[in-house]
Amino acid sequence: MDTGDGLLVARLAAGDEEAIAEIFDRYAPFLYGLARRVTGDANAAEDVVQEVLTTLWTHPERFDPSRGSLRAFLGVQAHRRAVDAVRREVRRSAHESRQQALDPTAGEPFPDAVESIGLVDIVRQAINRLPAAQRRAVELAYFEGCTQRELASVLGIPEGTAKSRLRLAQAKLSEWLAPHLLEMA
Amino acid sequence: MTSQSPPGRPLEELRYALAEADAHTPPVALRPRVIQAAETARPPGLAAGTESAITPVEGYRRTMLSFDAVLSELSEDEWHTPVLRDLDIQGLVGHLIGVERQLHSALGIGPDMVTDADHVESTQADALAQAGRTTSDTHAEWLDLSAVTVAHTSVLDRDGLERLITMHHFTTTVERMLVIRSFESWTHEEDIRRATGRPLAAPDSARLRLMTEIAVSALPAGLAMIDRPKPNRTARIVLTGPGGGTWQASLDRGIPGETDVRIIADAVSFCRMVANRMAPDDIDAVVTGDEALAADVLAGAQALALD
Repeated sequence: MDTGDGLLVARLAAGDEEAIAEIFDRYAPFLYGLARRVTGDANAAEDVVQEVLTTLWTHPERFDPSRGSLRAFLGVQAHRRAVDAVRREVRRSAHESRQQALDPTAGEPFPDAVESIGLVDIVRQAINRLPAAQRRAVELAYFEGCTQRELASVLGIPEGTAKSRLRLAQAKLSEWLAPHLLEMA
Repeated sequence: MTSQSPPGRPLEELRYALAEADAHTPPVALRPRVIQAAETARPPGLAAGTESAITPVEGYRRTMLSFDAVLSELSEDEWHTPVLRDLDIQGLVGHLIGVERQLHSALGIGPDMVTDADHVESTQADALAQAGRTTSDTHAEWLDLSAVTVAHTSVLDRDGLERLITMHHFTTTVERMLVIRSFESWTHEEDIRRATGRPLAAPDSARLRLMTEIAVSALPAGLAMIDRPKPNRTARIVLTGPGGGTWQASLDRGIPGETDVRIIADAVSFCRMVANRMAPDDIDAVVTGDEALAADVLAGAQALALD
Protein backbone atom coordinates (compact mmCIF):
# COMPACT_ATOMS: atom_id res chain seq x y z
CA MET A 1 0.00 0.00 0.00
CA ASP A 2 1.19 3.50 -0.86
CA THR A 3 2.50 5.24 2.24
CA GLY A 4 2.65 8.80 0.94
CA ASP A 5 0.01 11.18 -0.39
CA GLY A 6 -1.97 8.27 -1.80
CA LEU A 7 -2.35 6.68 1.63
CA LEU A 8 -3.28 9.98 3.23
CA VAL A 9 -6.04 10.55 0.70
CA ALA A 10 -7.15 6.89 0.92
CA ARG A 11 -7.60 7.45 4.66
CA LEU A 12 -9.53 10.60 3.89
CA ALA A 13 -11.75 8.63 1.53
CA ALA A 14 -12.27 6.04 4.26
CA GLY A 15 -13.77 8.75 6.44
CA ASP A 16 -10.77 9.10 8.75
CA GLU A 17 -11.17 12.60 10.13
CA GLU A 18 -7.65 12.48 11.55
CA ALA A 19 -6.41 12.48 7.97
CA ILE A 20 -8.00 15.85 7.20
CA ALA A 21 -6.28 17.24 10.29
CA GLU A 22 -2.95 15.84 9.11
CA ILE A 23 -3.46 17.28 5.65
CA PHE A 24 -4.30 20.63 7.20
CA ASP A 25 -1.12 20.57 9.28
CA ARG A 26 0.97 19.57 6.28
CA TYR A 27 -0.48 21.82 3.59
CA ALA A 28 -2.49 24.67 5.13
CA PRO A 29 0.51 27.04 5.49
CA PHE A 30 1.37 26.47 1.83
CA LEU A 31 -2.23 26.94 0.68
CA TYR A 32 -2.82 29.93 2.92
CA GLY A 33 0.39 31.60 1.73
CA LEU A 34 -0.46 30.94 -1.89
CA ALA A 35 -4.00 32.24 -1.51
CA ARG A 36 -2.86 35.31 0.39
CA ARG A 37 -0.42 36.18 -2.33
CA VAL A 38 -3.07 35.84 -5.01
CA THR A 39 -5.92 37.56 -3.18
CA GLY A 40 -3.97 39.96 -0.99
CA ASP A 41 -6.65 39.32 1.58
CA ALA A 42 -6.20 37.18 4.70
CA ASN A 43 -9.91 36.47 5.11
CA ALA A 44 -10.32 35.44 1.50
CA ALA A 45 -7.25 33.22 1.85
CA GLU A 46 -8.80 31.47 4.85
CA ASP A 47 -11.93 30.81 2.81
CA VAL A 48 -9.82 29.37 0.00
CA VAL A 49 -8.06 26.97 2.36
CA GLN A 50 -11.40 25.87 3.80
CA GLU A 51 -12.97 25.36 0.38
CA VAL A 52 -10.01 23.43 -1.00
CA LEU A 53 -9.67 21.07 1.95
CA THR A 54 -13.42 20.56 2.37
CA THR A 55 -13.70 19.67 -1.30
CA LEU A 56 -10.83 17.21 -0.95
CA TRP A 57 -12.68 15.61 1.97
CA THR A 58 -15.98 15.36 0.07
CA HIS A 59 -14.44 14.34 -3.27
CA PRO A 60 -11.19 12.52 -2.50
CA GLU A 61 -11.54 10.53 -5.73
CA ARG A 62 -10.61 13.65 -7.71
CA PHE A 63 -6.99 13.32 -6.56
CA ASP A 64 -5.07 10.77 -8.56
CA PRO A 65 -1.64 10.14 -7.02
CA SER A 66 -0.40 8.70 -10.30
CA ARG A 67 -0.76 12.12 -11.92
CA GLY A 68 1.24 14.19 -9.46
CA SER A 69 1.76 15.23 -5.88
CA LEU A 70 -0.97 16.23 -3.48
CA ARG A 71 0.81 19.56 -3.06
CA ALA A 72 0.51 20.35 -6.76
CA PHE A 73 -3.10 19.13 -6.85
CA LEU A 74 -4.08 21.29 -3.89
CA GLY A 75 -2.01 24.17 -5.25
CA VAL A 76 -3.94 24.15 -8.52
CA GLN A 77 -7.26 24.09 -6.66
CA ALA A 78 -6.20 26.88 -4.33
CA HIS A 79 -4.93 29.00 -7.19
CA ARG A 80 -8.20 28.62 -9.11
CA ARG A 81 -10.31 29.45 -6.11
CA ALA A 82 -8.11 32.38 -5.17
CA VAL A 83 -8.41 33.76 -8.69
CA ASP A 84 -12.17 33.29 -8.50
CA ALA A 85 -12.18 35.19 -5.21
CA VAL A 86 -10.22 38.02 -6.80
CA ARG A 87 -12.64 38.12 -9.71
CA ARG A 88 -15.61 38.29 -7.40
CA GLU A 89 -13.96 41.07 -5.50
CA VAL A 90 -13.14 42.90 -8.69
CA ARG A 91 -16.69 42.64 -9.88
CA ARG A 92 -17.92 44.01 -6.58
CA SER A 93 -15.43 46.76 -6.48
CA ALA A 94 -15.97 50.09 -8.08
CA HIS A 95 -12.30 50.83 -8.18
CA GLU A 96 -11.57 50.86 -11.85
CA SER A 97 -7.87 51.16 -11.51
CA ARG A 98 -7.67 48.06 -9.42
CA GLN A 99 -9.97 46.28 -11.84
CA GLN A 100 -7.74 47.16 -14.76
CA ALA A 101 -4.63 46.09 -12.94
CA LEU A 102 -5.93 42.78 -11.76
CA ASP A 103 -8.36 41.78 -14.44
CA PRO A 104 -7.21 42.98 -17.84
CA THR A 105 -8.79 39.98 -19.49
CA ALA A 106 -12.19 40.26 -17.80
CA GLY A 107 -14.53 37.67 -19.17
CA GLU A 108 -11.71 35.45 -20.40
CA PRO A 109 -10.83 32.27 -18.57
CA PHE A 110 -7.92 32.64 -16.19
CA PRO A 111 -4.99 30.46 -17.11
CA ASP A 112 -4.35 27.86 -14.43
CA ALA A 113 -1.32 26.01 -15.65
CA VAL A 114 2.17 27.21 -16.29
CA GLU A 115 2.10 25.71 -19.75
CA SER A 116 -0.98 27.62 -20.85
CA ILE A 117 0.38 31.09 -20.32
CA GLY A 118 3.68 30.84 -22.08
CA LEU A 119 5.79 30.61 -18.97
CA VAL A 120 7.33 27.38 -20.07
CA ASP A 121 10.17 29.13 -21.84
CA ILE A 122 10.72 31.54 -18.98
CA VAL A 123 10.96 28.71 -16.47
CA ARG A 124 13.23 26.68 -18.71
CA GLN A 125 15.48 29.70 -19.26
CA ALA A 126 15.64 30.21 -15.52
CA ILE A 127 16.60 26.58 -14.98
CA ASN A 128 19.25 26.88 -17.66
CA ARG A 129 20.76 29.84 -15.81
CA LEU A 130 21.47 27.63 -12.80
CA PRO A 131 24.97 26.20 -12.32
CA ALA A 132 25.16 22.76 -13.91
CA ALA A 133 25.09 20.84 -10.61
CA GLN A 134 22.04 22.67 -9.35
CA ARG A 135 20.34 22.42 -12.73
CA ARG A 136 20.79 18.66 -12.70
CA ALA A 137 19.36 18.46 -9.18
CA VAL A 138 16.25 20.40 -10.24
CA GLU A 139 15.79 18.27 -13.34
CA LEU A 140 16.03 15.07 -11.33
CA ALA A 141 13.70 16.32 -8.60
CA TYR A 142 10.99 17.90 -10.71
CA PHE A 143 11.27 16.37 -14.16
CA GLU A 144 12.15 12.83 -13.20
CA GLY A 145 10.41 12.71 -9.85
CA CYS A 146 13.39 11.62 -7.76
CA THR A 147 13.25 11.68 -3.99
CA GLN A 148 16.11 13.43 -2.20
CA ARG A 149 17.62 10.06 -1.36
CA GLU A 150 17.49 9.00 -5.02
CA LEU A 151 18.88 12.37 -6.00
CA ALA A 152 21.88 11.84 -3.73
CA SER A 153 22.38 8.35 -5.10
CA VAL A 154 22.25 9.42 -8.74
CA LEU A 155 24.57 12.38 -8.18
CA GLY A 156 26.90 10.41 -5.93
CA ILE A 157 26.73 12.94 -3.11
CA PRO A 158 25.52 12.79 0.50
CA GLU A 159 21.80 13.29 1.04
CA GLY A 160 22.39 16.47 3.00
CA THR A 161 24.38 17.93 0.13
CA ALA A 162 21.64 17.02 -2.31
CA LYS A 163 19.11 18.70 -0.06
CA SER A 164 21.10 21.93 0.24
CA ARG A 165 21.86 21.94 -3.49
CA LEU A 166 18.18 21.69 -4.27
CA ARG A 167 17.36 24.36 -1.71
CA LEU A 168 19.88 26.75 -3.25
CA ALA A 169 18.44 26.13 -6.70
CA GLN A 170 14.92 26.68 -5.45
CA ALA A 171 15.92 29.95 -3.82
CA LYS A 172 17.42 31.24 -7.06
CA LEU A 173 14.46 30.12 -9.12
CA SER A 174 12.09 31.69 -6.64
CA GLU A 175 13.93 34.97 -6.93
CA TRP A 176 14.12 34.92 -10.73
CA LEU A 177 10.61 33.66 -11.30
CA ALA A 178 8.79 35.60 -8.61
CA PRO A 179 7.69 38.43 -10.93
CA HIS A 180 6.37 35.97 -13.48
CA LEU A 181 4.62 33.79 -10.91
CA LEU A 182 3.04 36.91 -9.50
CA GLU A 183 1.81 37.79 -12.98
CA MET A 184 0.17 34.40 -13.17
CA ALA A 185 -1.87 35.30 -10.14
CA MET B 1 14.12 4.09 -9.85
CA THR B 2 10.96 4.89 -7.91
CA SER B 3 9.32 8.26 -8.31
CA GLN B 4 8.20 10.56 -5.54
CA SER B 5 5.93 12.60 -7.80
CA PRO B 6 5.46 11.49 -11.37
CA PRO B 7 6.89 13.90 -13.92
CA GLY B 8 3.56 14.19 -15.73
CA ARG B 9 3.35 17.93 -15.08
CA PRO B 10 6.84 18.77 -13.85
CA LEU B 11 6.49 22.50 -14.26
CA GLU B 12 3.37 22.51 -12.15
CA GLU B 13 5.20 20.45 -9.53
CA LEU B 14 8.07 22.93 -9.62
CA ARG B 15 5.77 25.90 -9.49
CA TYR B 16 4.07 24.73 -6.33
CA ALA B 17 7.29 23.52 -4.76
CA LEU B 18 8.58 27.06 -5.21
CA ALA B 19 5.35 28.46 -3.80
CA GLU B 20 6.24 26.75 -0.51
CA ALA B 21 8.52 29.73 -0.05
CA ASP B 22 5.40 31.81 0.53
CA ALA B 23 4.02 29.44 3.16
CA HIS B 24 2.42 31.38 5.95
CA THR B 25 1.06 30.07 9.24
CA PRO B 26 -2.71 30.46 9.13
CA PRO B 27 -4.71 31.76 12.09
CA VAL B 28 -5.13 29.17 14.84
CA ALA B 29 -8.91 29.24 14.48
CA LEU B 30 -8.77 28.08 10.89
CA ARG B 31 -7.89 24.46 11.72
CA PRO B 32 -11.02 23.64 13.77
CA ARG B 33 -13.10 25.64 11.31
CA VAL B 34 -11.89 23.58 8.36
CA ILE B 35 -12.31 20.28 10.17
CA GLN B 36 -15.81 21.21 11.27
CA ALA B 37 -16.77 22.33 7.78
CA ALA B 38 -15.44 19.10 6.32
CA GLU B 39 -17.27 16.91 8.82
CA THR B 40 -20.48 18.82 8.17
CA ALA B 41 -20.11 18.28 4.44
CA ARG B 42 -19.48 14.54 4.84
CA PRO B 43 -19.80 12.74 8.15
CA PRO B 44 -16.65 10.89 9.19
CA GLY B 45 -16.57 7.13 9.56
CA LEU B 46 -18.09 6.05 6.27
CA ALA B 47 -15.98 5.56 3.17
CA ALA B 48 -16.68 7.83 0.22
CA GLY B 49 -18.36 6.13 -2.71
CA THR B 50 -20.30 3.70 -0.52
CA GLU B 51 -23.84 3.15 -1.73
CA SER B 52 -26.76 4.00 0.55
CA ALA B 53 -27.10 1.67 3.50
CA ILE B 54 -29.12 -1.50 3.00
CA THR B 55 -30.68 -3.82 5.55
CA PRO B 56 -29.02 -7.12 6.45
CA VAL B 57 -31.99 -8.86 4.84
CA GLU B 58 -31.36 -7.03 1.57
CA GLY B 59 -27.65 -7.80 1.87
CA TYR B 60 -28.47 -11.47 2.30
CA ARG B 61 -30.83 -11.40 -0.70
CA ARG B 62 -28.18 -9.79 -2.91
CA THR B 63 -25.56 -12.30 -1.79
CA MET B 64 -27.84 -15.21 -2.58
CA LEU B 65 -28.57 -13.76 -6.05
CA SER B 66 -24.85 -13.39 -6.71
CA PHE B 67 -24.13 -16.92 -5.51
CA ASP B 68 -26.99 -18.28 -7.60
CA ALA B 69 -25.65 -16.50 -10.68
CA VAL B 70 -22.28 -18.23 -10.31
CA LEU B 71 -23.86 -21.64 -9.75
CA SER B 72 -26.00 -21.10 -12.85
CA GLU B 73 -22.88 -20.56 -14.95
CA LEU B 74 -21.19 -23.80 -13.92
CA SER B 75 -20.85 -26.65 -16.37
CA GLU B 76 -21.56 -30.16 -15.13
CA ASP B 77 -17.83 -30.84 -14.99
CA GLU B 78 -17.18 -27.67 -13.01
CA TRP B 79 -19.69 -28.75 -10.35
CA HIS B 80 -17.27 -31.55 -9.52
CA THR B 81 -14.21 -29.35 -9.18
CA PRO B 82 -12.46 -29.78 -5.80
CA VAL B 83 -13.00 -26.53 -3.93
CA LEU B 84 -12.63 -26.69 -0.15
CA ARG B 85 -11.48 -29.28 2.37
CA ASP B 86 -12.49 -32.61 0.81
CA LEU B 87 -15.48 -31.12 -0.99
CA ASP B 88 -16.22 -30.48 -4.62
CA ILE B 89 -18.52 -27.60 -5.51
CA GLN B 90 -21.62 -29.76 -5.19
CA GLY B 91 -20.49 -30.85 -1.74
CA LEU B 92 -19.81 -27.25 -0.77
CA VAL B 93 -23.34 -26.29 -1.79
CA GLY B 94 -24.49 -29.25 0.29
CA HIS B 95 -22.66 -27.74 3.25
CA LEU B 96 -24.58 -24.50 2.65
CA ILE B 97 -27.83 -26.47 2.49
CA GLY B 98 -26.98 -27.85 5.92
CA VAL B 99 -26.24 -24.37 7.30
CA GLU B 100 -29.48 -23.03 5.84
CA ARG B 101 -31.50 -25.84 7.45
CA GLN B 102 -29.94 -25.06 10.80
CA LEU B 103 -30.73 -21.39 10.31
CA HIS B 104 -34.36 -22.29 9.63
CA SER B 105 -34.41 -24.33 12.80
CA ALA B 106 -32.92 -21.45 14.79
CA LEU B 107 -35.47 -19.08 13.24
CA GLY B 108 -38.30 -21.45 14.18
CA ILE B 109 -39.37 -22.08 10.57
CA GLY B 110 -37.83 -25.53 10.10
CA PRO B 111 -37.61 -28.88 11.87
CA ASP B 112 -35.93 -28.84 15.27
CA MET B 113 -32.22 -29.46 14.98
CA VAL B 114 -29.19 -29.09 17.16
CA THR B 115 -27.83 -25.78 15.88
CA ASP B 116 -25.27 -25.07 18.58
CA ALA B 117 -22.76 -27.39 16.94
CA ASP B 118 -19.53 -27.16 15.00
CA HIS B 119 -20.03 -25.29 11.75
CA VAL B 120 -18.25 -27.84 9.56
CA GLU B 121 -18.91 -31.11 11.37
CA SER B 122 -22.62 -30.49 11.78
CA THR B 123 -23.11 -29.95 8.05
CA GLN B 124 -20.77 -32.64 6.76
CA ALA B 125 -23.60 -35.15 6.31
CA ASP B 126 -25.45 -32.68 4.08
CA ALA B 127 -22.27 -32.09 2.10
CA LEU B 128 -21.63 -35.78 1.57
CA ALA B 129 -25.28 -36.50 0.78
CA GLN B 130 -25.02 -34.54 -2.47
CA ALA B 131 -22.83 -37.16 -4.08
CA GLY B 132 -25.77 -39.22 -5.26
CA ARG B 133 -27.89 -36.31 -6.47
CA THR B 134 -28.03 -34.34 -9.68
CA THR B 135 -26.33 -30.99 -9.49
CA SER B 136 -29.57 -29.28 -10.50
CA ASP B 137 -31.31 -30.84 -7.50
CA THR B 138 -28.55 -29.61 -5.20
CA HIS B 139 -28.71 -26.15 -6.72
CA ALA B 140 -32.51 -26.04 -6.52
CA GLU B 141 -32.64 -27.16 -2.89
CA TRP B 142 -30.10 -24.57 -1.82
CA LEU B 143 -31.97 -21.86 -3.73
CA ASP B 144 -35.34 -22.84 -2.27
CA LEU B 145 -34.02 -22.85 1.30
CA SER B 146 -32.33 -19.47 0.79
CA ALA B 147 -35.49 -18.01 -0.69
CA VAL B 148 -37.45 -19.15 2.37
CA THR B 149 -34.91 -17.41 4.63
CA VAL B 150 -35.29 -14.16 2.67
CA ALA B 151 -39.08 -14.41 2.55
CA HIS B 152 -39.29 -15.04 6.30
CA THR B 153 -36.82 -12.43 7.48
CA SER B 154 -38.01 -9.70 5.11
CA VAL B 155 -41.34 -9.47 6.98
CA LEU B 156 -39.92 -9.60 10.51
CA ASP B 157 -40.52 -6.54 12.67
CA ARG B 158 -37.78 -4.92 14.74
CA ASP B 159 -38.31 -7.32 17.65
CA GLY B 160 -38.06 -10.26 15.30
CA LEU B 161 -34.85 -8.99 13.73
CA GLU B 162 -33.30 -8.33 17.13
CA ARG B 163 -34.27 -11.70 18.58
CA LEU B 164 -31.26 -13.70 19.71
CA ILE B 165 -30.58 -17.01 18.03
CA THR B 166 -27.77 -19.51 18.55
CA MET B 167 -25.84 -21.29 15.84
CA HIS B 168 -22.41 -22.82 15.69
CA HIS B 169 -21.41 -21.90 19.24
CA PHE B 170 -22.37 -18.27 19.15
CA THR B 171 -25.47 -16.32 19.95
CA THR B 172 -26.43 -13.16 18.12
CA THR B 173 -29.40 -11.33 16.66
CA VAL B 174 -31.21 -12.52 13.57
CA GLU B 175 -29.94 -9.46 11.70
CA ARG B 176 -26.32 -10.05 12.58
CA MET B 177 -26.67 -13.73 11.76
CA LEU B 178 -27.85 -12.75 8.28
CA VAL B 179 -24.73 -10.61 7.80
CA ILE B 180 -22.57 -13.50 8.98
CA ARG B 181 -24.35 -15.77 6.52
CA SER B 182 -23.78 -13.23 3.74
CA PHE B 183 -20.11 -13.09 4.68
CA GLU B 184 -19.84 -16.87 4.51
CA SER B 185 -21.73 -17.18 1.23
CA TRP B 186 -19.61 -14.49 -0.43
CA THR B 187 -16.51 -16.30 0.81
CA HIS B 188 -17.69 -19.58 -0.69
CA GLU B 189 -18.67 -17.82 -3.91
CA GLU B 190 -15.07 -16.66 -4.13
CA ASP B 191 -13.90 -20.21 -3.32
CA ILE B 192 -15.86 -21.41 -6.34
CA ARG B 193 -14.53 -18.58 -8.48
CA ARG B 194 -10.97 -19.46 -7.50
CA ALA B 195 -11.48 -23.17 -8.10
CA THR B 196 -12.98 -22.63 -11.55
CA GLY B 197 -10.64 -19.87 -12.70
CA ARG B 198 -13.22 -17.10 -12.55
CA PRO B 199 -12.19 -13.62 -11.45
CA LEU B 200 -12.84 -12.81 -7.82
CA ALA B 201 -15.69 -10.39 -7.22
CA ALA B 202 -15.93 -7.98 -4.31
CA PRO B 203 -19.42 -7.49 -2.93
CA ASP B 204 -21.17 -4.24 -3.84
CA SER B 205 -20.20 -1.46 -1.47
CA ALA B 206 -23.43 -1.55 0.55
CA ARG B 207 -23.00 -5.27 1.28
CA LEU B 208 -19.32 -4.81 1.93
CA ARG B 209 -20.10 -2.10 4.47
CA LEU B 210 -22.31 -4.53 6.40
CA MET B 211 -19.44 -7.01 6.37
CA THR B 212 -16.73 -4.58 7.42
CA GLU B 213 -18.91 -3.29 10.25
CA ILE B 214 -19.57 -6.74 11.63
CA ALA B 215 -15.94 -7.79 11.24
CA VAL B 216 -14.64 -4.77 13.17
CA SER B 217 -17.28 -5.16 15.87
CA ALA B 218 -16.30 -8.82 16.29
CA LEU B 219 -12.59 -8.11 16.89
CA PRO B 220 -12.88 -8.56 20.70
CA ALA B 221 -14.45 -11.97 20.08
CA GLY B 222 -11.64 -12.89 17.70
CA LEU B 223 -9.02 -11.88 20.26
CA ALA B 224 -10.80 -13.97 22.88
CA MET B 225 -10.81 -16.95 20.50
CA ILE B 226 -7.03 -16.85 20.23
CA ASP B 227 -6.74 -16.26 23.96
CA ARG B 228 -5.18 -12.83 23.64
CA PRO B 229 -7.70 -10.50 25.29
CA LYS B 230 -6.86 -6.79 25.12
CA PRO B 231 -8.51 -5.01 28.03
CA ASN B 232 -8.53 -1.22 27.78
CA ARG B 233 -6.86 -1.21 24.38
CA THR B 234 -8.16 0.65 21.35
CA ALA B 235 -7.46 0.17 17.68
CA ARG B 236 -8.23 2.66 14.95
CA ILE B 237 -9.27 0.58 11.97
CA VAL B 238 -9.24 2.35 8.62
CA LEU B 239 -10.58 0.21 5.78
CA THR B 240 -10.12 1.86 2.42
CA GLY B 241 -12.29 1.76 -0.66
CA PRO B 242 -16.08 1.94 -1.04
CA GLY B 243 -17.72 -0.20 1.62
CA GLY B 244 -14.93 0.55 4.07
CA GLY B 245 -14.79 3.16 6.79
CA THR B 246 -13.03 4.24 9.95
CA TRP B 247 -13.67 2.83 13.40
CA GLN B 248 -12.26 3.78 16.79
CA ALA B 249 -12.66 0.25 18.09
CA SER B 250 -12.43 -0.84 21.70
CA LEU B 251 -10.79 -4.25 21.79
CA ASP B 252 -12.71 -5.32 24.89
CA ARG B 253 -16.19 -4.09 23.95
CA GLY B 254 -15.70 -1.13 26.29
CA ILE B 255 -15.61 2.57 25.48
CA PRO B 256 -12.92 3.34 22.88
CA GLY B 257 -10.02 5.31 24.28
CA GLU B 258 -6.96 6.89 22.72
CA THR B 259 -5.58 5.01 19.75
CA ASP B 260 -3.02 2.35 20.70
CA VAL B 261 -2.59 1.17 17.15
CA ARG B 262 -3.83 2.27 13.75
CA ILE B 263 -4.33 -0.33 11.06
CA ILE B 264 -5.02 0.77 7.50
CA ALA B 265 -5.98 -1.86 4.95
CA ASP B 266 -8.06 -2.36 1.86
CA ALA B 267 -11.62 -3.22 2.90
CA VAL B 268 -12.01 -6.22 0.59
CA SER B 269 -8.62 -7.67 1.54
CA PHE B 270 -9.49 -7.23 5.21
CA CYS B 271 -12.69 -9.22 4.70
CA ARG B 272 -10.80 -11.93 2.84
CA MET B 273 -8.44 -12.14 5.81
CA VAL B 274 -11.38 -12.36 8.24
CA ALA B 275 -12.64 -15.24 6.09
CA ASN B 276 -9.19 -16.84 6.40
CA ARG B 277 -8.65 -16.60 2.66
CA MET B 278 -5.70 -14.21 3.01
CA ALA B 279 -2.93 -14.13 5.59
CA PRO B 280 -2.43 -10.97 7.68
CA ASP B 281 0.98 -10.52 6.06
CA ASP B 282 -0.60 -10.54 2.62
CA ILE B 283 -3.19 -7.80 3.05
CA ASP B 284 -0.57 -5.05 2.80
CA ALA B 285 -1.78 -3.31 5.96
CA VAL B 286 -0.08 -0.13 7.11
CA VAL B 287 0.38 -0.13 10.88
CA THR B 288 1.32 2.75 13.13
CA GLY B 289 1.64 2.44 16.89
CA ASP B 290 1.87 -0.80 18.83
CA GLU B 291 2.90 -3.31 16.16
CA ALA B 292 2.62 -6.33 18.46
CA LEU B 293 -0.96 -5.31 19.23
CA ALA B 294 -1.64 -4.96 15.50
CA ALA B 295 -0.35 -8.49 14.89
CA ASP B 296 -2.71 -9.84 17.56
CA VAL B 297 -5.66 -7.85 16.21
CA LEU B 298 -5.09 -9.21 12.71
CA ALA B 299 -4.64 -12.77 14.04
CA GLY B 300 -7.85 -12.37 16.04
CA ALA B 301 -9.67 -11.11 12.96
CA GLN B 302 -8.52 -14.12 10.99
CA ALA B 303 -9.71 -16.44 13.77
CA LEU B 304 -13.27 -15.26 13.16
CA ALA B 305 -13.44 -17.39 10.02
CA LEU B 306 -16.03 -20.14 10.13
CA ASP B 307 -14.14 -22.54 7.88
